[in-house]
Amino acid sequence: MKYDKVSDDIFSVFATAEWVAESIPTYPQNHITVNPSNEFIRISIVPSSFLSTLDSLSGQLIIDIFTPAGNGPKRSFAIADILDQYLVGKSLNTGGNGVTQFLASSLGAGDLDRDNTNLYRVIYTISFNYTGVQ
Amino acid sequence: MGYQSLVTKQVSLAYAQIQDLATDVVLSKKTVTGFNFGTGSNIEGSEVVVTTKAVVNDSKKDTELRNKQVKELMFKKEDVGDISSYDTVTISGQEWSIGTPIVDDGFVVTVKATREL
Repeated sequence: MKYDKVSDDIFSVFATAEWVAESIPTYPQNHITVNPSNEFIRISIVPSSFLSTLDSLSGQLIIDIFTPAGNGPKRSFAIADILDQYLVGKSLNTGGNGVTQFLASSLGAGDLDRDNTNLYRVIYTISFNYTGVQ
Repeated sequence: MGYQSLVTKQVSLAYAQIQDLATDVVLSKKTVTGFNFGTGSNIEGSEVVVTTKAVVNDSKKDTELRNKQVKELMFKKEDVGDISSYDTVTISGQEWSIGTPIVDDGFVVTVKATREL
């Protein structure tokens, strides 16, 4: 259940009233986005086998930050800072004995989105560890 | 009469004239407006069912990695409106998923419908 539990823990961040109040449209991977806005984020959970056991795993939460092309990187950085407030150093537990703990974040170089060159895409990455209890 | 309405009428006429070369299909149009992170599922609106005709431009079986059937379907735009990959189409009682690309020239909409076998 560790993969599902990590997903629940991470999704719970974006289900909070506080996050919704940030007014940053948020979508997961494998969702066909219906979004007339040109500012949104897309989250992808990438578990890795490193440090993985039957009840624990590590991985990365990768977040694509989309903002309008041609307006410089400032808004991307502002969204990354907002994400940091919700994620960096946080421990999440939506039920059961396992805890998902986020570590430090990083922000990659930005580029125009290949699918829509009216969008500028920057990749925000944050590592996490999940530790369950048998 | 402008050219837009002229072409729209001619497309309707063409679909009527080809008779049973156009297949009766049922298009189920689903509206997905977002994603609910609390439940982990899409936020869906009401489903609209459209009974219409589609021209099957191409049909093939792909057995390279697994058995899959692909049909290229062409709809009248005025019958179906906007189509998304969340929509499905039922042909002869079998449900097909609509994939990408969805080609829409304003008069006809061409899609790839797939079904696992």
